[in-house]
Amino acid sequence: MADETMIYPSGLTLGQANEIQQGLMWGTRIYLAIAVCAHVLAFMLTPWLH
Amino acid sequence: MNEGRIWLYVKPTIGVPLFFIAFVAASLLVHGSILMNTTWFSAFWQGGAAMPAAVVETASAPAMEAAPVEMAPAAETNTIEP
Repeated sequence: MADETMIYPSGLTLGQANEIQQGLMWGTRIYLAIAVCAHVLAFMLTPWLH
Repeated sequence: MNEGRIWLYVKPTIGVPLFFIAFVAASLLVHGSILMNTTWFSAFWQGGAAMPAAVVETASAPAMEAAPVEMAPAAETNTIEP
């Protein structure tokens, strides 16, 4: 089992690595939500896919 | 599964910028390809007046109400022949 205080080769602990992963995942979700809105608008207002 | 463990072995100072660059590169590749392989994409950026006639006919009605062709500033100067 991983040790929460162990320093891994990247210089981070398991908790820090998970924190970075969570931040990236939320950033990606927000990016994708904005992208979905943009593509809905593009579908409505341009000949794309018509 | 615990995907966050990747940051135990990949430095975030390297991996995070690579992740962002990959995202941007994929987006630019797709949109650039559409721009290069369609006529309406560049016409759309030019403005509603520059859209080819066939494109104007197929465009949705709300878009035409929001930006009538006659009122577009580029209507008289920039027209693309289909």
